[in-house]
Amino acid sequence: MEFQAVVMAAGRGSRMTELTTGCPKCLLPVGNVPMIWYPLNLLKRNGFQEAIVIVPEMAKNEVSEARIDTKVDMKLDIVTIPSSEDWGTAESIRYIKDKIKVDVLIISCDLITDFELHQLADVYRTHSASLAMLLAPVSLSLVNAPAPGQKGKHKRVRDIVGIESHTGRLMFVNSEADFEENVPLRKFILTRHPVVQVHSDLMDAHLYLMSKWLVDYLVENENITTIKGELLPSVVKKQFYHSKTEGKNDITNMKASVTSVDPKKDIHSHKKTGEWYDLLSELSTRSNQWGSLDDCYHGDQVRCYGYIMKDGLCVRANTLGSYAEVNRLIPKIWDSVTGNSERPISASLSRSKSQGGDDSMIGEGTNIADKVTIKKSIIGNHCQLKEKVKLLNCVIMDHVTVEEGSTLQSCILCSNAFVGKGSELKDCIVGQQQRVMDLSKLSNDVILEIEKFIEI
Amino acid sequence: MKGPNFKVVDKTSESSTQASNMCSRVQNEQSKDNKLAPAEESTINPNLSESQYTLKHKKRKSKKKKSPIRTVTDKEEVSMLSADGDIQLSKKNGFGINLDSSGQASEEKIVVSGLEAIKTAVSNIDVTDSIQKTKVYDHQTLVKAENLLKSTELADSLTGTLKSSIMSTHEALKEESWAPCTGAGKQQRLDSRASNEEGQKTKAQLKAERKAAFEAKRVAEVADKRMSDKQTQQKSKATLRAERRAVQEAQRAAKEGKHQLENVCPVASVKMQEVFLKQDHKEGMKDAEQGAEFSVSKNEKSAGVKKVHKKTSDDPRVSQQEVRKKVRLFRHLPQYHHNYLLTRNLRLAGSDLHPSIIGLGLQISQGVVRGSNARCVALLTALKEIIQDYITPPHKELSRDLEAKIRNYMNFLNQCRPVAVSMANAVKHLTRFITKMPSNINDSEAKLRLCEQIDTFIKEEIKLAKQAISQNAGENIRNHDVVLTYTCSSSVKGALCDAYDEGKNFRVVVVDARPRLDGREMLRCLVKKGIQCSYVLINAVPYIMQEVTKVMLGAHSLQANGYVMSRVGCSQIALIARAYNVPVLVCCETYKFSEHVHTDSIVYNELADPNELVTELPPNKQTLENWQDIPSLYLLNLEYDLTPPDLVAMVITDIGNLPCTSVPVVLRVKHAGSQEV
Repeated sequence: MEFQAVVMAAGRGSRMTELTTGCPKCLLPVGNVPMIWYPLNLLKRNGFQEAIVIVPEMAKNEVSEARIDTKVDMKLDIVTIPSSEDWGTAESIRYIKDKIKVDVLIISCDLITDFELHQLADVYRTHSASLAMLLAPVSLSLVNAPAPGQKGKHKRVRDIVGIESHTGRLMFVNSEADFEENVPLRKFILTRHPVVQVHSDLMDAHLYLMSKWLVDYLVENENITTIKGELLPSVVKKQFYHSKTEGKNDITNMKASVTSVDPKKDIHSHKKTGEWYDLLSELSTRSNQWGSLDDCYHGDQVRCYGYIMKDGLCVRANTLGSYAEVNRLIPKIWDSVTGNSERPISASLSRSKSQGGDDSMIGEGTNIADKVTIKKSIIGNHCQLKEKVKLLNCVIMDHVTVEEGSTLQSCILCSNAFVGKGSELKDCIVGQQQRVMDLSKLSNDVILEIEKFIEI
Repeated sequence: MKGPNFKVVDKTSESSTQASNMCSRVQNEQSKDNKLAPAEESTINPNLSESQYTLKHKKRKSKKKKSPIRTVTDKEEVSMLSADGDIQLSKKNGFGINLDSSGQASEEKIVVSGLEAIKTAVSNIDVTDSIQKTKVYDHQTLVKAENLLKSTELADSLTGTLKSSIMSTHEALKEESWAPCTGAGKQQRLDSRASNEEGQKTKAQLKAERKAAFEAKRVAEVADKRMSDKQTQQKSKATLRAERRAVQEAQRAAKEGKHQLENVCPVASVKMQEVFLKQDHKEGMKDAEQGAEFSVSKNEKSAGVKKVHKKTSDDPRVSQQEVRKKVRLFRHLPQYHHNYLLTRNLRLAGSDLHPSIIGLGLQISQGVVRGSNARCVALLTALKEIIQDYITPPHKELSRDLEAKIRNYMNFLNQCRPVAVSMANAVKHLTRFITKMPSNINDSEAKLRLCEQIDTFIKEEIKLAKQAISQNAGENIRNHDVVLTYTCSSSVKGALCDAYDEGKNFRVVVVDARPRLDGREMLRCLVKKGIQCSYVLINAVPYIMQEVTKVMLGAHSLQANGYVMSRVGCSQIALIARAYNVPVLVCCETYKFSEHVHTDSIVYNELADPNELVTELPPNKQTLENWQDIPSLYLLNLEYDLTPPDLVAMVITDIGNLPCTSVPVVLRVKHAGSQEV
């Protein structure tokens, strides 16, 4: 086995709390299938037969009830992390360290993409990298998608990525907040890598290939809590610093001794090429570098690479806006992001029973009365849509009832929600089991438990 | 032209006697052909001259049992000798399965006769160009009519049993045999053959094959009816024999195709293959048509060709572009392709290929691991890793299963980049050891032994050899020498560094060449060491040669006839050195000696990425970005060339300083040594 897959599904959906109060983030429906189905399907298409799924403890029952494993036909090892702990991604990985035997592929549960994984894997394999990550151009339509129930724009935290364009070697990966006015770059790095592109328009897809030793390194360094925020920037930075002179000087040695010496030992033990490694590098006649007289890769043992998606689609449904937008897009992009997988019954396209177009999905057991207009909407299972209901750009989860003559525009209705007769809702979120009274007129509102039974 | 020796291996069955008949006939025909039409010799001769070494080549191929399409190279039509060789060898090697079973044996004979048939076809076709010549053969064909009838039956029965199986090999074969003779269609067929090589077997192929099978059957039927017509007889004979051959190939292909489909990712995407195969099919139809029309006038024939031209032009642009961009003289070589498609169908988990092999393949194709020694070491370390992870599947034998696996891996590597001679030799050595492994030892013991074997190989054949070479080379470097070296060779690099460490005072001229500029790596190492260096590009060599006292070159391989295969440009350097009376020394480890014989860089070579030629480094701007769209432009990026032995003063090897011509001796001694083990 070349890679082990780990699906990070323990996120709390902190950027979409309105939806996740009643439903764990990974099970939020996108195109009438739980969000987590998409990354699992991606893995399945790339030959993975099993995957480790990390979920929060409180969501365990729901996740296992959802029977995701049968839907994707994979063997899932569902690991729960204690709900008392607020663990970061790195801590979760540390938690499952015993299960990790080979290099890992880490993927987030909210990633929906038509990316072909082998392209990233090829970069990883070609350079015997320590870490490879997928970067995708941010699609503006998703970022600027109006988020229902929110006033003002969601502030996006940008990443600043420095990448050597022809090799894909990462120079730095930091959040915007890590820098002040300037982005510093060491001179010797620039001499060795004279062509560095700095991007601020790239999104980290949260798809990583990680060497086994990096997991070991994570285990040793318990102060690292997240992969993206802490591990990644530090490993990328440490690529260029070798600890040739052990214990001689400077403070970085303390850090470096952990990263560089250990990896060095570990890379070799991991790759099992130790004994002939020197001979190999001596014999190699490759010349593909500038700026120093060092050996291949300037003697860097730790190498991090990024792959920038050139075309195709890569979306993370991690904010309200992108969640709503992905749902809107999914009927169109279904084939490409799922590799023409057969739709689960619940995700079949709407029939022309009512005035629903190709741009909608209607779930199983949903009753649609006459004269219902459905446009660009996703409707879950067992919903009741009464007469003369108009839906535009809506996401409606399971067991939702919409009474006669209601008009809903750009709304998200969580499961078991009820919308009374003749209501007009615009840009609203109706939480789980919430009721919207008859003849309500709401716009840009969030109806949650606290505000039970709003009456106007 | 040399009359090949024919040995009929087994005369027990009818088909083998047929084979012998055909052989002798071909011989006759060819000798007559020689007398009659000396002008035609030129078309055949270059091929025939290969026949000596084709034998070796073929042996290797038949042993490997590669895909039938690949096996069919343009050398084949000539090598009647090799057909015999095939059988002898296959007997020796067991040919995979039970040889004593009569079925298997007869099948082999069919192969032979099939091969002969094609050769007959070749000579026949040569002749049919002028009617006069054909008449000479009339009496012969009459004599053969009886045999033919029998063979027809045989072929028909075989086709009947294997209706659904593969026939495109037949076409490929036909194309092969017809290609050198018919000028007009030659180019096209070469195209399709090359594409055929690229597109290996897939399901799509099976479809095309079925069609082809039908086609061929039709031809056979037509041929049967016209048995009285002598010339059609010739045709049908050829077709039928080819058919039989194809049937045999089909069986093999079906077996292997299934295997490969599962194991090795296809090089090209299925879509591309479909396109290619369509083309193949059309080519096959053309052949069939030509077969039928051959007895008719030339005009009609050319009309047929035109028709096919039209047909092929229907193909989508993609394939045409691909085809168009092959440099004519080098169409027969595996064309460079991007590695994007290589890994596309490989699973990220649970792939049949070991991760280390996938990684190695990519590293080799991307040039991260470069240089034939480095590639060999990397391969061996990867194999070691594989062996360590290896567990014999139940009901299987380690020696057989592992060998098959390694063969599979080598297939993949070959797709990434044609395997270097050094790698092939090392794997040959290893598989020999594996097959000789006693079956009664347990897995861990066997694995241990194999790993040991790999380590000794690396140590003795590469590491110590390198040291020995630098020692031997060091003796040849004197104070105040000016040594010229070309691009980067690990052994030359080592030798120069060691000589410097010994305290010798010399200067080095590093000659480099676009597009790869490997010489910079050499320069880097030498400069790092502190050796005094000059760096010039190859176009300045005549100027710099005046001050040079020795030329030291590395080698990719040393051929049995003493030709040095090395990075393209070496022969040019050697030539200039000769003009200035500078001795040329070649450093080459003995494990890179090859039993192949090549006399030019065309028959066997490697094509690198043509884009390298138009790309600037680092890639900020491409001068001819859209070169694929310029119809009048072809790019040729050759990897190797051959330096004739008379330009080389001496070869510095790990066993001493030798003349180029001593390769066969070294190989014989080595072979004897390995036999004893």
